[in-house]
Amino acid sequence: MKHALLWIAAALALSACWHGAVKDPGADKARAELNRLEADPQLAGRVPVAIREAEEAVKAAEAPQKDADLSSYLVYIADRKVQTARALAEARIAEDELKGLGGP
Amino acid sequence: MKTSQAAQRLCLGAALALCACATVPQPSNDAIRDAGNLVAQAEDARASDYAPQEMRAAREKLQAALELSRQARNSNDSAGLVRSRWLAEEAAADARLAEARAQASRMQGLLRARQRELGPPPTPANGSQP
Repeated sequence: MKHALLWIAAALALSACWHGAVKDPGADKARAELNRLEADPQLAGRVPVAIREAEEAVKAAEAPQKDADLSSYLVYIADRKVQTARALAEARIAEDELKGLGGP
Repeated sequence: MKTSQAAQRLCLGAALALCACATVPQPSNDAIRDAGNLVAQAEDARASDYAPQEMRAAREKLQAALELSRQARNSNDSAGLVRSRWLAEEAAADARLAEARAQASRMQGLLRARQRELGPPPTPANGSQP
């Protein structure tokens, strides 16, 4: 089963190459940054919606595209959504700590 | 009678077709309007003070989207319209990021101020034990 999936993935990747579609390397960076964010329980648990949106954007950016401009646009959006999710999580952490100290 | 009904149907069809033309979604315009609203919202949240680079990127992309959209409409360039929508969506993403970073910076500033107010946490040496 595992081998079959690997063969299918390889066939799809090969098919994409034959048709001139390529994956922007920026998608891998966005995926790595999202993985880091998701692996941090303190951050990830605070912004599930933003992380879900980032996940969708990264998936879209990972799909090989023939149009380089489309590819760049998808990577840009994915990168921004991942960074936004991280910033929102950091804001929530500070907000929660502030509440714990009896702040405003 | 039949002619009158046919004429009515024709008029109704024409009216519907006109309405359809008038309400055909203009994705590029929608995206530009949304991006404009998000940039304004981020400005209101003083995002320029905390995330100036992201805000500059948002404003520049919004402006570029507007210009490209105008040119594309004048020359009936559908690919240009699509690209102007992408630019507008990038501007919106920049504005959201700027606002989130501003929110994080503001909260972290308030937290630091509160921690200074309260002073250092008690240690075993200077704790509350008599």
